[in-house]
Amino acid sequence: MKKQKQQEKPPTPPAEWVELYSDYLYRYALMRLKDPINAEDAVQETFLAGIKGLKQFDGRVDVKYWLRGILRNKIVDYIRKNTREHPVNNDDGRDIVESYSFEKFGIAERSPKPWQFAPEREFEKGEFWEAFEKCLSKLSDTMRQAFVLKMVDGMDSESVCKALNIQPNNLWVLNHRARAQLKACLESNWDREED
Amino acid sequence: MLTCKQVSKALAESDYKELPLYKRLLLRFHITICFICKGYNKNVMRFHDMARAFRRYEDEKTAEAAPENAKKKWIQSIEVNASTKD
Repeated sequence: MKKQKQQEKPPTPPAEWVELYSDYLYRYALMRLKDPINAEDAVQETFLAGIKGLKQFDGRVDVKYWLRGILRNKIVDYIRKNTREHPVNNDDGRDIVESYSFEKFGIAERSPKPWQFAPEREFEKGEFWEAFEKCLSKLSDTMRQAFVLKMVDGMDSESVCKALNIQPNNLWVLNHRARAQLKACLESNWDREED
Repeated sequence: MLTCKQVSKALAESDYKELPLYKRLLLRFHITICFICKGYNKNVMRFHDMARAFRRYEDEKTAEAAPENAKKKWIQSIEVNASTKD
């Protein structure tokens, strides 16, 4: 990030926010919440909180990412509220940890199956990410949120567990399953493309 | 000595960098001698890379996404709230 010059720049006025940032923010919220009405409300609340807090804006990051920071907190609030109302079954998947090919002494029996293609070679292709998003949306809500909050948004495990109202062990199971399902989904949806 | 189960949990649960040094060293050591955990580690790291690359894609994508009526609603509420501010 270049910071020398941008500190002087005044923030984009709120009147331009919808035009400049709303598509980005809405997509961001929708991918995480899945519910279009919640996503719409979260963006609305973000804009209003942004207007209120505009005086504190210090220009260190672009307004786009500053608003995204506010939105992320709103999203976590929505997720937390939802998981309080509909708690995730904490027993679900406990056996997976036990059955995950570990012998009595905790030694793994099998290596995970290698990928059918090297995903990192596809990172430059927009279509790959469209397939990736489609595969993400096929995961259960909790699994998707566990993966996205932890891996994409880089939240620490403790905060993710709090938001999802789960135990650390469950986060491990959820992410383990998310990886397996994403891999299987990407392999069946992507390898038809030739390089 | 760490077991494979502990290794795979440590690798998946917390970012490698969050771990204390002695744990990182133990992990390293385990991974150099255990090819199964090496494979597991490679897979987890792949997902870390993928998540990072996806974040970039997400930030740069410009396609329209928000419904028109939502945009109208947002514009209105920004107008109302921005004007009552001062």
